[in-house]
Amino acid sequence: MKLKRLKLTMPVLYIFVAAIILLALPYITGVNSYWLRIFVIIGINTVMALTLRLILLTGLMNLAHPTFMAIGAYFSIFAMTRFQLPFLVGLIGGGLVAGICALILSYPFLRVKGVYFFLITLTFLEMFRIAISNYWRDWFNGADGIYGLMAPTIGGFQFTSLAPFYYLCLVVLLITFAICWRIEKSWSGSVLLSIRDADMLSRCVGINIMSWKAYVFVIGCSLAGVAGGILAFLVGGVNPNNFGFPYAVDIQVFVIVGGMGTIWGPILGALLFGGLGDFLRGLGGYALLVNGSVLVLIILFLPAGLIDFPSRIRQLIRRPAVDAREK
Amino acid sequence: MDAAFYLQMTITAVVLSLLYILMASGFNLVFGIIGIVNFAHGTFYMLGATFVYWFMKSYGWSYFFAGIASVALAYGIGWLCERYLMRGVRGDILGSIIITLGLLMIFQSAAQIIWGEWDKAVPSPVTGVINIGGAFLPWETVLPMVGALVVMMLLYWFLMYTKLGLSLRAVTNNREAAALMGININFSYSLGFAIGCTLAAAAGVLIAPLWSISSTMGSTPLWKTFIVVILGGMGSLPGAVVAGILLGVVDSFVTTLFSSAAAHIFGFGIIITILVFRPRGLMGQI
Repeated sequence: MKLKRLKLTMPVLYIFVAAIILLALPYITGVNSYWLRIFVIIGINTVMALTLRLILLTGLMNLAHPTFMAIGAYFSIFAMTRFQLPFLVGLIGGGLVAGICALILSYPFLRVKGVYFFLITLTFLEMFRIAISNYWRDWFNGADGIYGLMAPTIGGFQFTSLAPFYYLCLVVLLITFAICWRIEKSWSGSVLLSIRDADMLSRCVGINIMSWKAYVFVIGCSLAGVAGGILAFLVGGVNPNNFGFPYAVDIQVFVIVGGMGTIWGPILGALLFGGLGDFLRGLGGYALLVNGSVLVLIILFLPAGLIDFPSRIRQLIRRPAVDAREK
Repeated sequence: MDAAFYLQMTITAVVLSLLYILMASGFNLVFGIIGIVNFAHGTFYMLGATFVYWFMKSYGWSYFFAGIASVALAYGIGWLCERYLMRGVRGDILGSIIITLGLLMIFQSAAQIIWGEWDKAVPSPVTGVINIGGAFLPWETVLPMVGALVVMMLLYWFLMYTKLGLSLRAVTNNREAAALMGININFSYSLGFAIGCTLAAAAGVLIAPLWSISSTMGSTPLWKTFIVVILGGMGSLPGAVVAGILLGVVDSFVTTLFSSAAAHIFGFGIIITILVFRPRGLMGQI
């Protein structure tokens, strides 16, 4: 009896401790510190990684994820500087606009699957970046980007330090996590997995695979748009090159290196690699070399991602002579 | 807007078409045999050009000798990459994509560290112009055209008239059946990957005297390769030829008449249009 009660309370205890740490983090690191900034960027990266994995549940690897982030970021900037809308309206509007763009683009994009989808989103990403850095200069200001944004306000509350950004990012992250968790753990998660594993069979049992794919694609892309809005105001501006191929690769790395088997994999990946860019910049030309080597080694030795590390260690201890890769 | 202007555009179109065909056929060969998307393909193009620069500058070799050595070196590197890295993630599409992305980062930063960030140039081994009815065609653009045609003919001969080529085609067609017929699958995979990398490096070697060489020169051809491959159909060599010519012509004319950004956007527009009507590309199997 006593044991049972203890078992019930353990997860509650973990969640309680995690909540306290998450809520108190700005005051542990200091409200304007370099570390808090990195944590906000990690939060934004986690939102991107989680939504990317949501789309990946149907077997679609969306490389154009940063593009939808860019759409949200630019819309929230235009909403504030050109249409004089409140910050929150711009942020949510950015998500909606990104979602609408995703809905329109889902018709040509979702006609293909697998590697084709991968490549077409890749060309879309590059096309979008080149288009906004060369055309409509009076809106997008070319490759120089838009900088010098004012600190946003929500209902008269001014964002003077990094702490409000942190809490805003935390709210968006929790909403994203809740959406991804609900979709994956309910029956719709099984539908998505059935589309990934046997799309023709799912179609035969009456699942409308196009609308299901469009559903997760639109949800994922609109949340990416909201993340873009936060990033734009955190940095104080955006540049088309922020949303290029390197960032798209980074998000894939969070998901695949973290491990895409569970929802915790992308979170772990974003936590470990999300803030890495700032540290690696100190290495100069060697940063890319180190990054690439780490990637290759992790994929070769931990094919199911870093989240698999404890069970691999356990396996090695239990049966040291058997290599798990040699089946 | 006179005849010379249009001739110049046509020459650029031919050079670009041949470059895209070389790159895309290497990419399609790798995709057809191993079934992976090789992101390091543009890096092998860069390595081919950089090795030529290195051999010519440091050892004083002639262009032809340096070119052959560079292609051989790229073949070796491709073989080692397949043998020791790609083999560990065989059958895992996302894992192999991450591996090739890692290779892209490693090779690109290594080239930047070893040979520097600045733009390098290689002197053309041939000079002078040919006079065709009043318009002038420089020899240095004829050289890559002839070279690309020779490489394509060699590839065609290899795939169609040799036993090794036959085994590669068999593996592309049906892996299990090929293995049952006694074809060494591991060897075929390594060979296919190495030949794909060699084709990219050959494109780099041929382009080296024309364009400037730097560690990031591989990215634009990589995008163009993706467009060609989607347009022509994944894994289809005839598709690569048709789509390569199409994109080369479009690129050359749109770049000259508008800008290179417009060429990118135009290429994407073509892809979307093709995908709406033929989701598997022009020559892909439906």
